[in-house]
Amino acid sequence: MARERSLFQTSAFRGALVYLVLFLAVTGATLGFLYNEMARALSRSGDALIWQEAAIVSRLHATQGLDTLKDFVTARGDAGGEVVYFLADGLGARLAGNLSAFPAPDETSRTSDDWITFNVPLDSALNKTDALPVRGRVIVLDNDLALLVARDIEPERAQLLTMARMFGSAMLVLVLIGLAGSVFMARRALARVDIISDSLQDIMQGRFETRVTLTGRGDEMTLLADRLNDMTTRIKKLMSAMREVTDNIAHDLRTPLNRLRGQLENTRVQISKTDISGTAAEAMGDQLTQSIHDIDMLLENFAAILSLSRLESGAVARSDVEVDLAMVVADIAELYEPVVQDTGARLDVLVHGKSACVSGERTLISQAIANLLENALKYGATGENIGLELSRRQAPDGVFYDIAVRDCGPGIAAADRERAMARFVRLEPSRHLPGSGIGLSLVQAIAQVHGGGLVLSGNLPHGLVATLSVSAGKR
Amino acid sequence: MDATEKINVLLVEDDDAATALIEETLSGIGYRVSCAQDGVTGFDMAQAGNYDILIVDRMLPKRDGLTMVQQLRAAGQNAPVLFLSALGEVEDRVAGLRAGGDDYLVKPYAISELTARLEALARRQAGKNETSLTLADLSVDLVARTVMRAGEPIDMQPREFVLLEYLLRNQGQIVTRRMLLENVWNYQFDPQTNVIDVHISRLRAKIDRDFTSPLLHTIRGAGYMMRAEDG
Repeated sequence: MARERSLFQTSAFRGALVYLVLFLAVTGATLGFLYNEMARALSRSGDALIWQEAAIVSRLHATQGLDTLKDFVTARGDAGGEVVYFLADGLGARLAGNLSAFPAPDETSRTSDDWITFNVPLDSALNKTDALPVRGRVIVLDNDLALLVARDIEPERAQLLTMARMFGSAMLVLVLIGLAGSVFMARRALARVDIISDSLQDIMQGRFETRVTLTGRGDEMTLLADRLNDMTTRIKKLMSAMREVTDNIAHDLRTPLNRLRGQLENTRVQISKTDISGTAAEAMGDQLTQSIHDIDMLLENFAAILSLSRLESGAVARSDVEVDLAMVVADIAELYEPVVQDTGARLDVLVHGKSACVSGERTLISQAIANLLENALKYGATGENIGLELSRRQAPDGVFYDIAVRDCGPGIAAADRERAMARFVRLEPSRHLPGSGIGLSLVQAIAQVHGGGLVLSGNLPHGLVATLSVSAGKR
Repeated sequence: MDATEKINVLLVEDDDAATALIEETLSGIGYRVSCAQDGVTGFDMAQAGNYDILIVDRMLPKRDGLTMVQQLRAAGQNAPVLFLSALGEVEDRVAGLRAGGDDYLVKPYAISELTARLEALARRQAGKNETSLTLADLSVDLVARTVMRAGEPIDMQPREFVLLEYLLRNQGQIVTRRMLLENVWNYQFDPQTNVIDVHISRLRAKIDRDFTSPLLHTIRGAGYMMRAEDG
């Protein structure tokens, strides 16, 4: 659909079209020149006949006199050739010839060098069934005598018409072949670009085993495809190295921390078992609990960074499970509603439409919404309602589902919104609150894995709207 | 727990310190623990011995934990398996459960989390097809989905009912917040806010507030437990 439209926008089609127009212009000029030359040649040979006739008549009139001339003209006219004669005296009255009357001036056309063209009417002496186009000139023999000699130019015209038709058809065939060629070339180029584009899309989605496969010889496109494949192989290597590193970090760094945590916990159990009584033991126990809590925070941030890295690198393969966002939103709202109510506010849930099915990961999307809700609880105004809304949006690049979380807190200044989504960024007023500065980055990464994004905007009269979008398309 | 019916646990873990810690903790609360250091030994021991529960680390030398459990399941071994792993992405969990695991605990975990889950796994075998659950004067009809305490009906939201059912099925044992989030709400992430506590206090208001002896107890630093006061 979109591709059909873009066919005419390809450079291959446009290039072919420019070439075609240029080629047609040159061919048209050449054929036009040929036609013109042909017309002139035909007309010249006809005109020579008239001059020849004029010479004969002039000589006859000079040597033999008017009566002989009349007889000659009558004889010539009756001979039935396709030549028209009209001998007239000084007043224009007919003396001889096969034309009944001199054509009226408004029925004739006259060239600058006195050639006249007109149609011989049907009632003339010529036995023709149709009006006959003729061309000739008036030869003045003396003051009282003039002879009009004209010849039939119909065959000549027919000949030129045939030629014009031939040339026209040739041009038409050229245009059709040219257009078909352009479309074919564009299709072919576009098909190969589509193959490359589709493969790249797959690769961007994290399927690094995808390779661009073009049929064809070693032309520039296959060369490009080879380079792209080399690049993908390299990216895949880097990705798996990165994954290996993060997995190793996960194992080699978290395991000892986990062990340390366990040891502390064990010590706490030991203390509670021993007979050390009173406040000293309790204080030690509390300290241990605090230490364990600190390690937990450290490990939690660590886990968040790891999953963010994996999400951002596309190393998380998205399973193509159908998820109903309406259910996801309802479930997470059900989990958080009592928490919001405990602050003395309401969680306003608004779901447009019955269902909103996308392919995605329920846990990830739920976690993203939970992060946004927790931000709203943490940074929004206490006691003010929090809004959670699911809506469908038609955008130029596809259909999206928007999940918006609104709070009525101080919000984020427009200039800081972009920065707020970056890793580890903690904005000034809330810098002292516990948190890692990774929550919004994680939401953004989750949205991007699902073909969408995260947009922060202002709520009215104040507050923040965080809109997480998820692509509704398969891809 | 009664000493005559000690629960036999096979721990397959290559990290000595983690093994020592788990072994000590579990022995302390009355489990009999056997250890294996790698996947091959673990497989042989699981086949030879009669264990009630297997605790298996995913990353093991010689044969990784997933493969080992798959092979055990293929060989007809049906003791519950608890996976331990540093890999905590959704796909990793799914892989663990597909391989035949019954629960999946991501490192780092609190030792109390591990023991709570072991207790749940050990008891799960019994009483799967009950139609009602009771504790003192509280009774839950799983078929009619009604709750009664001291002969009075208590109105429940659907999710509250699932929460109460889960707590009652594990009565007498500690249930952690993470277990509740995974089993009642089916989520695998840790909320920063006290969402679970709020749901528990709502439930408590319904089943405990108007009665003299509380049944739903908070275990500090660990989670919650359903038990009768003198139990």
